[in-house]
Amino acid sequence: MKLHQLVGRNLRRRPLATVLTTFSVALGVGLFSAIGSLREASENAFQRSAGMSNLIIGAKGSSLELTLNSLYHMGFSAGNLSYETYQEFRDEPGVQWCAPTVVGDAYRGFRIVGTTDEMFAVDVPEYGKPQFSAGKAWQHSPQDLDAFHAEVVTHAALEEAEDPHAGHDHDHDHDHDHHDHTLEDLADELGLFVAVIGATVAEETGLKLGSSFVPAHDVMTGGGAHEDAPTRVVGVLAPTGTPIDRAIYIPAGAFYAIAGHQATEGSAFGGTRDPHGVSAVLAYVTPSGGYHLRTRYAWNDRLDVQAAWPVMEVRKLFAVVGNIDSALRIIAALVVVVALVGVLVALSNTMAARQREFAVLRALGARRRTILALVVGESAAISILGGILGLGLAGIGAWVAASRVRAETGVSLSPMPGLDDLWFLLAVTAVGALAGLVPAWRAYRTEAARALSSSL
Amino acid sequence: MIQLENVVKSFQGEAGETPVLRIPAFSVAAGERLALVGTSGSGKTTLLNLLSGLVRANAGRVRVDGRDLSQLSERERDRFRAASVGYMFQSFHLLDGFSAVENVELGESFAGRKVHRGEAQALLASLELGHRLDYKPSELSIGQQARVALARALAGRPKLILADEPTGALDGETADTILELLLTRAKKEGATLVVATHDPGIAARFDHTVNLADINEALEPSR
Repeated sequence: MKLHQLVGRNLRRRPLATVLTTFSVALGVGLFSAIGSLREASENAFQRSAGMSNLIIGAKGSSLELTLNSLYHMGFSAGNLSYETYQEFRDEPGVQWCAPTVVGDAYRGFRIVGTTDEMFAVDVPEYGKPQFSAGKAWQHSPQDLDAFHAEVVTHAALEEAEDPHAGHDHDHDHDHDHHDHTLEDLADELGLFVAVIGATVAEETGLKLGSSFVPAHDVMTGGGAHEDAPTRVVGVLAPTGTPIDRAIYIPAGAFYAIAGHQATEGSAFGGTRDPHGVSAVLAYVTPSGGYHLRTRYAWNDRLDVQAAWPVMEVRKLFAVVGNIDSALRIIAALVVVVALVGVLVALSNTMAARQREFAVLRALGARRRTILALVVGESAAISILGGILGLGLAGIGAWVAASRVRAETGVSLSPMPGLDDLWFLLAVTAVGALAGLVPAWRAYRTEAARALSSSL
Repeated sequence: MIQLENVVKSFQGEAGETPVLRIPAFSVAAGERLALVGTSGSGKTTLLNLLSGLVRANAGRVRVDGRDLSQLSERERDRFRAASVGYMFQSFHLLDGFSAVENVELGESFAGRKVHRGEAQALLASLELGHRLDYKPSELSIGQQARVALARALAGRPKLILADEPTGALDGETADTILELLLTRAKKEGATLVVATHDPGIAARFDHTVNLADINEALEPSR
């Protein structure tokens, strides 16, 4: 019978103590792993998404808020940039790709983003351009948007001339005047009430190619529905593992045409109150020679513009989150330490009763070192079993929660343990074995002849 | 096989060092079956422990199978015991969590040889325990436990079998059977057998008998 068989047999002899101590170790290791994998998955997902755009401009305010709102569909928009600013930026040398966004509506909690068809030309890191699982992209080029925006401005001017207060009416339940109807009719004629939906939106809402839905105002509180703007799904995107999956893209022209959107709020931080502006512009500026950074500095100097470098913003965010993450991991590690103390106590409590067993093994020729290794092995086995069980539980938890977490945050959890987890498992096993040294030393010192004669 | 010269073994107690054994000379030939007779506390178990290498003499020479145990390190004595000695205890000391066959396997687990389950099973079967291989000690009768203990002592084919009051816990008939098995098996294996007993009736069935009182000078002052 080999040592590992002796260890296994001894653990099975005390099933309750073995199960309880193993489970307590599993709890700590599982917590440690879950915290780590959640953080790693979040950071990877955020960084990967941040790679879609290396410069975002929006209304003056917080660059982190701008990044979270425009790229990750989180939080509130800080206000609008003027449409002219968007056009000016679009013509900036070095801008390889850019897409404006106008936001404020949602459907069943998923943000509706008004944009141009440039959005579907975005290059998603490790993925490429968004692919369609059904249908195709709608057509609404920057030039189409310029033309429609000119109509919007003209209608607003006419409206202003007829009734100076009409354009600033924030009540969505107001009776639409004939200008709004005309604008909506125009959008309808141009076929702008169409949408491309992300993969998660399709999965969670049940929308599919050809489905129609009615946008609702206000993504956070769920305001009134835009009954006059039923929107038809013309394309469903394949999963990208980015916030694209959680967005509904409509032509920005349609957004301007929807009743009430001509009166978008301005920013408390000094963003323009231009009701026909854009919430943000996502861009990819040539990075050669740090050009995108120089562009960012130049645009950030303007009083009306906030320019953000998403990768840096995400890094800053996770530097803050990282402290919380470290604190949580320390707590999880302490849970493991407490569990290992439990293993030590449980084993120590059995030592007096096991003196005869050790003495018999010694009488059969087992060396003192073998007895030491036996007890240390039991402690290490509980630690490694607990560790593996913990990683397994964390993996099952990640697997079960994966679809919900992805739908709500865009973060894809992996059930597989990371390298960190494997190192932690190794450390837990080593510390477990060390903890076993305390009772093992007592076992080591067993005087076989005396123990045998006293247990006759 | 066994040669003791001027052996002294004493234990440290509260009243100082107490000699338990003082044996000027004692020997047992290879293959001999010897009964070691003495009253309780006469040093029988201590002598068996000396012969197995579990304890070391304070002075003198203990030679077993050509090796001077008093000169060996603890590690060397462990190896010697694992390879050359089979030990049967009075209360058998079978390990509770292990089945009968596993207890027998333990008997040869530390000798550095590959353990074959088949051998342990065959050994138990030869002792009429083939139908109780996977039983735990607590599920066996006292007589069956004695057979398992005997099988464990025989496992690994030791050159020296030591038994400390092997029938002390058994009723007359079972004791007879176990003793007979012990004697025949030792003879069959060609092993030297030393059995400690306080029962003259048992001692009479052995080739030779040595009364510890005759060889242990440490006992003289109290007699």
